[in-house]
Amino acid sequence: MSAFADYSVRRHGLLTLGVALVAMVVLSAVFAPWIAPYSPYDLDVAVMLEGPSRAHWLGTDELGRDVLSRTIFAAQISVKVALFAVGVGLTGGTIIGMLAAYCGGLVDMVLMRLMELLFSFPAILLAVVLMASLGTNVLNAMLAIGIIFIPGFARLARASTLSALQQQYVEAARSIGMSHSRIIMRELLPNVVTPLLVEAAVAFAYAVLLESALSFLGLGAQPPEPSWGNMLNTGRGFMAQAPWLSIVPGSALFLCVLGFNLLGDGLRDMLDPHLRD
Amino acid sequence: MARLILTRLALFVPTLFAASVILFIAINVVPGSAARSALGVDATPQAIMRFEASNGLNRPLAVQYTEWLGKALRGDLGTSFQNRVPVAPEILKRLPTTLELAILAFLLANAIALPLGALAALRHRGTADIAISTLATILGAIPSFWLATLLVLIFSLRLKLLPAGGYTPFFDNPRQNLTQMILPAVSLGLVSSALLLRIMRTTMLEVLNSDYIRTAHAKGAPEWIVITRHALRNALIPYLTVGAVEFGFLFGGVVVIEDIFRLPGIGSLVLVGIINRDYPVLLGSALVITIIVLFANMLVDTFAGLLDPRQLRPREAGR
Amino acid sequence: MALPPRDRAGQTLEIRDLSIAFSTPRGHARVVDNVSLSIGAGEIVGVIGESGSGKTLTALAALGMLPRGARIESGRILLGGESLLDMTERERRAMRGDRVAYIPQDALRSLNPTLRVGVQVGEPLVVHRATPWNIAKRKGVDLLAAVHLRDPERQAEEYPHQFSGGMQQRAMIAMGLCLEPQLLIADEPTTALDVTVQAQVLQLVREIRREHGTSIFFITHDLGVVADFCDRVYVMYAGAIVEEGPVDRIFERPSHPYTRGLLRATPAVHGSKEALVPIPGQIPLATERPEGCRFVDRCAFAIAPCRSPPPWVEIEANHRALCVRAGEAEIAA
Repeated sequence: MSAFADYSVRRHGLLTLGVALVAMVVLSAVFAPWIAPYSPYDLDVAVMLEGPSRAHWLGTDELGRDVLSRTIFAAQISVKVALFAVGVGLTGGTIIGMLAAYCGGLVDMVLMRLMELLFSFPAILLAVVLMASLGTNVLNAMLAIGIIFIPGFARLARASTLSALQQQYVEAARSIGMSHSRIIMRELLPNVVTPLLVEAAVAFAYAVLLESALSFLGLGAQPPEPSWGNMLNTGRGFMAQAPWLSIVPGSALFLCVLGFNLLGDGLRDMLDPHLRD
Repeated sequence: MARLILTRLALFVPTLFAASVILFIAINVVPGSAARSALGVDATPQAIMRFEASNGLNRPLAVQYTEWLGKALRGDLGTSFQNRVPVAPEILKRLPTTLELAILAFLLANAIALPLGALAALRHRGTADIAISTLATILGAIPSFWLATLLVLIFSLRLKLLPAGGYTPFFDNPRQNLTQMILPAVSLGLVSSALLLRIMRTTMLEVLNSDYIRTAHAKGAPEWIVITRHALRNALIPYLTVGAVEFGFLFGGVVVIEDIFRLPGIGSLVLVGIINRDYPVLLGSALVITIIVLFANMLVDTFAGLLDPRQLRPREAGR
Repeated sequence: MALPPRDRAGQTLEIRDLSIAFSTPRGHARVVDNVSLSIGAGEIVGVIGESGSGKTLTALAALGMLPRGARIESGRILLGGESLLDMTERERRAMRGDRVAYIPQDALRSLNPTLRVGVQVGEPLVVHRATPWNIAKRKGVDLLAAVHLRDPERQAEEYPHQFSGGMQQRAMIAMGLCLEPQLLIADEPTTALDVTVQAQVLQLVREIRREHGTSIFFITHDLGVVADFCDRVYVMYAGAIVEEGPVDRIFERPSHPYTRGLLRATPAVHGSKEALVPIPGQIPLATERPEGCRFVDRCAFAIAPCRSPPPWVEIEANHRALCVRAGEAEIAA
């Protein structure tokens, strides 16, 4: 019995940790101008590449900018990209998924095959190819990542819609002559939303990861705008003299992704207990 | 058995075509971008028109695609905008590097995921399970490029044990090649193992809860026989099918890791393509990587089917 | 490891005052409550009850294979005179599949889908007698022939999904017979089969008893099967035995209201003329049992004394029921 209790205590602990980490990131993003000790763009060539000190808790970079401040401001990019990308993916995916489930037949088959195929592409590859055409900056990164997320959400939305469609109340609504769009809005949508939220949490993590990878490759946020990815990229060049330039933004990135992952796992446990062990 | 393989192949070919269409559309999503990128910001409209005309970029997309496809099927993936060198031979030259990295990372990921996942399932809710699950969660959150950076910091710069980059072909100098591949493969493999570990744990748990495992216990079989003779093969089948999704992530990681360690593979060619706005190079290398991923998916799927007697010999009617 | 010689003089299986409990979020659940039963050499003993009566758990306890979370709170289990609960897990494992075999309900799910049937059927030989595989597979074919499979040579090479339901069940029986156990525990082996196949499987089990003198612990919820097939019967309700006796006496003179209820709700036994009468209400949860007689809330014969624990009443030789009104003429009607 105590083993059972320990296990669920641990689960709750992990969810709490996830919430705490996510809160830290989001709050950093929102309140950056007030929390950060310096502006992320303030140069001070006199103190470049200095390790952690009283004035600069996490050291300075190659242009003398405060690493702590830049790390905090970088959260803004990650949160913005994640929100936008998941928003695009969620909206597009839900529409396509619900459409496929509701129409059935050929429409369903074609749409779902397409989604499946898009899903098997390596995400970075698709993002890079899209951005070749769109242009390589943060906005286009958001768009590209959002597009990449559509198949995942579509598949989920379709599954939820299909099971909801089998419920009685859709039959009842149809029998009293409710229009199709009304059925979708009033009866189907609420049941589809819950599992999508779980998926969204995990998608946030992946969006942050993707954006950082793109910035790392020089394709996302461009310097001097701070993003964990491009900070890691610059840090690469100074690994011997200033390892903190790699460790700090990387840790922030790791904690952010970890937080969203824990959040997603925790939500999944809470909302769908029969999916777990 | 032949029927199983043939069906898989039959599905594979149209998937490849569809993938090529998607890539072609994606890269042409904004019309005119190719010329503008190649010629730069201050290109005159006339220069753009000339460029597009000479490269056949002013024709309808469908026509462009058909022509490109025709050439691709004959092994011609166009020539680079930059240096007028044919793309296909360059990709071929870089193929072994990418494959080596991918295979090493794949092997490492499975070497970690299979035993640890099985162990976690066997000691469900015990200390080992908790420790392994926590490890999987942490590994799954580490960006591969950060792990690579940290590993280089520790093993190359501080400990001076391993090189921070560079590549010698395997057949030239196996020892040096493998030393150079350790850090890249570990960065990629460790992170990939996280998802695979979770999948193995889940499938193994399901298997261990099934009735036929109970039968094995009821026959008095000791635990190690129950695991090896009864549980493993049954767990492997869904593991392979579900785990195939990891290939997509793995090859995405290849692009970044090749960049970090300066490995001359197809992944870094993708980056060359985007940075130089060299569309044929980008399209060609993206396509080849996609083909590899889809092929790997198909292989694994087929293998899982071969392992499963229910798919290999479907029940005949009238029994 | 050498096992003591088989005890054929005493009871094959003896369970005394067995109680098994789970700890659930809703409280302490005693799913098997002070159950005592015995099976002699060569006897076919039926244990009848609805799902949730505790019959499967009792059987699993006799195998030493209780699910995780189940605790034996009290009681003794003796197999051929040896105490199961005093054995080490190794000793229990040595006994499973060898001296006592288990035939579960769902044969398809109980067979490994990735192993050939012949291999699975002959496996006990490899596990317990260190027999080489080629000989074990041969024995597998012989066993499949013994359970009357039409083409045992070929069928031993096939996989479970290629067998029909009846064939799968026979394969499970063959597997159980492999080492000629003293006791066969059959958990609703015919429930998932249709009537003709059912009859064949039962025929097979009778044959086994006849030829090997195997004792059979037969779990079912189907009274019709019990009538034809068993020597003695235990009727279980909500974790306890409420009536026990020779099968013909139980049917002739049901002495516990629950037994009566079961008879009146079963078509094959009840006779086609009168209407079927279901028992009103539901089995109480193991955490919410009434004080006194557990059947009191559904009983047509309940009186005030039923709120106290009921006594065992001897109806006739070897036939008794756990009821204050046991044996009254009304109940047997």
